[in-house]
Amino acid sequence: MSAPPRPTPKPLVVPAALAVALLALPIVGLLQRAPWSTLIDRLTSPEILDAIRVSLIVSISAAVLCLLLGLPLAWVLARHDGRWTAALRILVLLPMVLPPVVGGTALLFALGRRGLFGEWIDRWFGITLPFTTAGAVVAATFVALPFFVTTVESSLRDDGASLDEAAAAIGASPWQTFVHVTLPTLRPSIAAGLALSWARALGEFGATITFAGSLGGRTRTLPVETFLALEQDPQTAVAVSVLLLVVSLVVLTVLRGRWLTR
Amino acid sequence: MRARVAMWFAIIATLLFTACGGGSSRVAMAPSSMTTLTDEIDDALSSDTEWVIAGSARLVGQLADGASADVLITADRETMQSAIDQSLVADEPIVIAGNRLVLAIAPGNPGEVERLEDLTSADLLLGVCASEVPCGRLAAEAQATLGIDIAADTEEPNVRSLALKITNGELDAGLIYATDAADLGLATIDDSRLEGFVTEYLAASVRGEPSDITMFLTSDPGRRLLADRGFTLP
Repeated sequence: MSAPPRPTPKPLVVPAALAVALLALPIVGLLQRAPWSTLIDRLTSPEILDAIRVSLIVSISAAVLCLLLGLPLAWVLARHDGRWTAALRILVLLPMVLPPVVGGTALLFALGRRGLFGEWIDRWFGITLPFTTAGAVVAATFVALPFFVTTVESSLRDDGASLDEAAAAIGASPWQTFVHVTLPTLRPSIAAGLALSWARALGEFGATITFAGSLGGRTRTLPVETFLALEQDPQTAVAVSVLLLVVSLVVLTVLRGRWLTR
Repeated sequence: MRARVAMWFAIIATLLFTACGGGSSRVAMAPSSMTTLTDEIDDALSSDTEWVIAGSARLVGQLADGASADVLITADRETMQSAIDQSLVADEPIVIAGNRLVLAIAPGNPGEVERLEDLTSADLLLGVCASEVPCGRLAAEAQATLGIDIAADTEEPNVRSLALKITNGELDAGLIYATDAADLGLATIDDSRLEGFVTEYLAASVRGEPSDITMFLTSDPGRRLLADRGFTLP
């Protein structure tokens, strides 16, 4: 499958090597500071186990929400063209560009107890999102959604609408077409989108701490725990970072091996 | 083609050098709670100051990792002691100010908080600082000494983020520093039992030369400024 190796043009060698160094050196720096001998003890303390539990609940829920909300949105974006679709696409990309802390503040302004919509949600349903695990899920979904939508949308575009048209020609309804024709071909990109959005949700910090706060067992995720640990116990912060690093390496490796190679 | 590449190189090189080249100004490391003082200190001193503002422990961490500075100010004694233990400061630190813990309430007092004991109610949305940072240590100390178990909904990583969540009404009340309450115009509940919970601000020179920032903050105008912003004076 792969193309025969070609000689790399000389002017590309040095910048490419610099790029590799920029990406790899921080990892090396982190690993050489890691407290290997006490790693297991540090990662199994009650606080960290709590944070691992919260992180798993929040990141998996966020990934599932990305699937439930992002898949329909990706379909809409891929199958429509026009000014509104273009505007919508920019809206989808915004959380990638916004500093997460700003995203969290914006979420507070919209969904907080004194927020534009949050005030009504609070009054009508008695639900207050900030400072709850559900709030942390909302913050994580906000930042992770673009990763899912863009991954699935580009795959939907590549596959084109011709299969859909063929299915329609033999009498399939739009919903039948979506379930029996579109979804099966999308499986690899849905898996990739899920993994990417899950990884982004797992590493999420700024929007979470701004919107959901930080309370052990409820909203204190691993990145928040890491940030706090840096104040007093940097070794534990490094240990948690190594854990997050290993988890992402595993996910990305599996991803590349299983799904990204077609 | 070649000319264009050369032009881009020149532009990038210029940007890199401008970004890296520092001026000859002094560098002061100060805790987050002193943010509101930096403009006035700048006005009072003749030469420029580059302020590095962060949590005290993080500032000491930066010094340990090789950051350079002229003066280090910490928001508590313990953090300054860790800087001394790592030989990061050159002279004996002096106490320049203190900061009291106060019970601040959200505008309009939506939670109808009247006294410290109300903070044990699970129905209210309450916040304290995380125990890893000075304001959180002080809050933990106060809770233990006074026998009040605050039903906190969040333990914020710094006093500023906590104070802002009270200001915008997302939290009903919380224990913050007097200076942040004064700066944000938050109403506080007077309780003499909180008076003993004060954190001391210490300043030390990093390179050994006496710092004019420390001199200013211990002078009469400096002390007036500190008192004006809600700090207590040594």
